[in-house]
Amino acid sequence: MSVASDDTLLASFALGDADAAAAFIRRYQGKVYGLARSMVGDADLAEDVAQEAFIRAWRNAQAYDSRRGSVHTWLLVITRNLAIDAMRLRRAQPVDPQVFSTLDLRTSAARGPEAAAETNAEMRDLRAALEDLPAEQRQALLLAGLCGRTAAEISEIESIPLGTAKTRIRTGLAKVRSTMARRGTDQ
Amino acid sequence: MTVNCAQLEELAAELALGTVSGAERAAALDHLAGCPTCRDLVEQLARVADSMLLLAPEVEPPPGFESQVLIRMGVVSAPVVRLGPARAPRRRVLVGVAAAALVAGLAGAGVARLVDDGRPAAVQTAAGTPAAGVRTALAFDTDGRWTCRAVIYGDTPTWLVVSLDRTDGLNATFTVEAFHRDDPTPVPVGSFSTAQGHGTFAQPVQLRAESLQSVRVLDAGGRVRYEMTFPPT
Repeated sequence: MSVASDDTLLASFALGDADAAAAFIRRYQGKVYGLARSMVGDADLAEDVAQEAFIRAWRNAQAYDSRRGSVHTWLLVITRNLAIDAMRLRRAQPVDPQVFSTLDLRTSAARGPEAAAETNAEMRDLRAALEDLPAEQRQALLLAGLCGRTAAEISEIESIPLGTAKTRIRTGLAKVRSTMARRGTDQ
Repeated sequence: MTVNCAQLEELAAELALGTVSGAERAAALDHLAGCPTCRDLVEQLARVADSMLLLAPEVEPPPGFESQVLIRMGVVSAPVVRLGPARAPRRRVLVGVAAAALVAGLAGAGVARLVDDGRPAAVQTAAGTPAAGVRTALAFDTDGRWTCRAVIYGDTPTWLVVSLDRTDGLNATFTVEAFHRDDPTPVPVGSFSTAQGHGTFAQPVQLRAESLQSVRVLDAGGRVRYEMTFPPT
């Protein structure tokens, strides 16, 4: 039995097909809930965010543009935005930021054929680029990117001036982008 | 507040990561709308920022997660609700619950205070014979239209349904808080979004139904937009 592609599954999910919807949710729920949990910390709030992410994806599936990224990434962007909104609204206590200083950048499984391919290529380059960053830039970038922390919050967490926090985020992301672009053109 | 290209470049990474909000974000987006160079920069950074999300650890959600999403989509029936047709989609069952309470003379409806759009609060008490196990509180606008409603029912689990119907086509996110009798501490119960003015929160909640006194709906700025008080049990 063949595995439906992410795009095909999303199309069936958008139409409200119960089997496709169940398969779509099962394929992504671990990553969606995992990201929500990483960002908001609280299990109940993370579940709300993750549920809402799937509902939002279902309602806005026609807005998905495969040229701009995979279904997997699109769904996680929805989740991130909802998690950031939820944190602002509820002032939820996010997960201990120190968890990301020990994040194993080599072990992040993805499901689905496209997601697997994406992991193999893009993720390899991304992990390498992050590992190349100075520790303080990597920490700031992960706090912003995976914890949804603002520069002001990172400034407080790290006990550094706001300008320094902003510089770490900006420089870190620019370096990762540059490294990934270079690796992409080198291949 | 306005932003030029140099300022936008300073903000680009945070914009791509989604951590800029408020007036600063609005000004940046306004600049991007008319500046293809800056837009290209943010899009390139956003592609990297978005791919970072794939690094988040994978965690399986609690049991029943998939079912809850399917129920909210309306593609399967809720197994714990038997107030509507047995095979009816969840959405219809929930509407049925609210409608049953309303048609039965606004059964069990409590006091509702509308504070939306800054208009004067309208307080109304609806009389009627409560339907068994169902309590409803409604919020009306100044024209007496039915705008926001809260319904609570069931014991194991207790379900809370909050539906908002506006005529202004608003797309926004709201949070719901509940209060128990004699306890001023708000209990956060969830959030929902409106699409074209309509949105529903419908979930099992960890609340004591018999002592639940009121529900508040807050907007993204944390302001109370609707406040509804249930009739006493």
